[in-house]
Amino acid sequence: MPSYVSEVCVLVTTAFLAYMAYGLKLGTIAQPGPGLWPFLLCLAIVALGSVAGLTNFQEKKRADFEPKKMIKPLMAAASIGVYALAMEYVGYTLPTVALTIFWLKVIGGEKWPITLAISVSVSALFYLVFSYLLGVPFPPDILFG
Amino acid sequence: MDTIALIIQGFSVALDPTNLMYCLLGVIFGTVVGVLPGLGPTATIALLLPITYVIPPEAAIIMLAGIYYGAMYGGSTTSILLDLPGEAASVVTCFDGYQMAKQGRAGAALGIAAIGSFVAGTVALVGLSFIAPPLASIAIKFGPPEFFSIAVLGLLLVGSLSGGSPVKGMISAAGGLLLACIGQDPVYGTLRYHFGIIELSSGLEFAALAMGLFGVAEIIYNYEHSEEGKLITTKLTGLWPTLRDWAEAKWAVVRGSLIGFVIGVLPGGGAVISSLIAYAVEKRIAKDPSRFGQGAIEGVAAPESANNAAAGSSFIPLLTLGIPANSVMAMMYAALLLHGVQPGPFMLTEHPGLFWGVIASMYIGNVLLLILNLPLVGVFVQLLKLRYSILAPIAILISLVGVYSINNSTFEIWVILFFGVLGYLMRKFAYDAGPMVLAFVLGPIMEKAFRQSLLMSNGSFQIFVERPISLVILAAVAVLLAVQIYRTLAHKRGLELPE
Repeated sequence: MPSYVSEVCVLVTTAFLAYMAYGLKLGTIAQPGPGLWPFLLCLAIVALGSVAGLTNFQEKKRADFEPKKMIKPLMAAASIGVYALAMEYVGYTLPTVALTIFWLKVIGGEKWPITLAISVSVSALFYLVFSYLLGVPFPPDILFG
Repeated sequence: MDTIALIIQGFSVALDPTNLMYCLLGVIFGTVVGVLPGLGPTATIALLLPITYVIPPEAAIIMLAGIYYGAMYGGSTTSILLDLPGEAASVVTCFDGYQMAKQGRAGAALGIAAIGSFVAGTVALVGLSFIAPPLASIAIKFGPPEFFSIAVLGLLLVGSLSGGSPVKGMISAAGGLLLACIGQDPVYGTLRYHFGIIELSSGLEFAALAMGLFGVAEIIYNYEHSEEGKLITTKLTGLWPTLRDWAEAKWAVVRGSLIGFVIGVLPGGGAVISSLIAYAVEKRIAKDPSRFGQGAIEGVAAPESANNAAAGSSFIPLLTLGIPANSVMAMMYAALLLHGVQPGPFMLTEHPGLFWGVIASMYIGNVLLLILNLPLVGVFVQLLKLRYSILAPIAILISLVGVYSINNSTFEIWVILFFGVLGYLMRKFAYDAGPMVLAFVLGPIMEKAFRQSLLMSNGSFQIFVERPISLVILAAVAVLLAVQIYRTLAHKRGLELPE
């Protein structure tokens, strides 16, 4: 993938954020409004992003985007999203055990006995540390209430 | 009270059994992190930030500091024995350390690394003890224009020294400043960039952002780049360098300590750059530079001394000016804020126990590391048997449950995921996340100082150049920018320039 794609994304996002900052009221230099500081930052990013993008375009730089290599990182990221959703609805235990099993077995390729032993023991240990020792209240648990 | 009396007061804090235990925990944990390739000290401190909420501030900072300089010690082990740096500051140690190990001199390499680290760490702490108080007393006189100018200089240095493209470093820094705008405007209380999400109205949680950009991003990125080194399995003997080794390395230790100390103080400096510069200096002044890369003991002594000295001296701008010099110090800054301590010139008078306790704990930590590292090197090497496929899920779970515990909300898990993916993409497109995290910390200070300065001057930008200290700092900014532009243009025209 061409490297300048990142700068195109930066420029589009920053243009949108600059528009939002403008809507917040810029005020005057003597009486700066809440939008002035972010607006100035957006201008700086647009200037720098244009320089970086043009340089990458001229030098024909490419980013290392090999789909095969990215499968594991993508699976890892997706599993964290599923974990956040699941924790909200079914509590700590099931999602945590499932997440560690997924990381150990599917992403890490560990054997089942190691996977099960580590996922159960680590999940239990973290529950003890965070819930009992640190008093962190987890969402209601579908298994243990 | 003079400095010596204050240091003694600091020792009474550091020698408190609880603080001593956290110091020991920190240096052990740091050594382990340094030994294990994959998670660096920045990611580890980010992952552990939420846990420090529940322990006293002195103990929290003592432990986090221990992790930082402990990792500098531990990083040398894998560099020497495996040709695999446990953390970035030990990359150059691989060049000669691994060659020494292949020649059967692993013990001497590990020994000089540990002794050099101890000497350098001590030099940095003595410097820190005696330089911090006068610097803090000068910094008390700083007003908003000075703080704004010094923050600009800091960010510029961080952006340009962070490795890779300086322009990308500055984009990353400006992005961090923009992220710091999320939440309430510091003057009018107007909500900015909250996108209708109620959790964003109080701004982004620093720990979630840092854990995402460093911790989660590093963990998932490592799945793309699994590295394996070849362990030198010959029995480690003779951990004390011989007299000849010592004669060859002693000045490298001194030079490395001094270089590390100076670079560590500079914003954007820190352990990684200082070790690179120390190695380059040794090679340049050597009578026979061809020995470097072939197992020269100075090539181990200098960078290992430099990275430890820098780890100590990088506390100076944080504790005296309230400006973190690198991303690890940004974590420290956040940890202090979490405990209601504002880092800066008033810390010395408002929290002397914490200030001097942390410094005294570093003296103790350095001794502990020397005791730990030499005899226990074999034990730490055994840690390398722990596979990344097992380490990664444990680390990710610490970060997810830890970040949840900040506000007892799954929203923070979404934040960590967002910044984890962003950090991963930034690595793919060669953007450094360090300037972003540092700028996020400096953002509120900079914006407040900028707006206060303009209010003070009734809208005149001249205030930044009318005050002498601010003028000098901005002159440095101008010089730095000019050098960067010149280098970029020269590079485009194909000119060779000295580093």
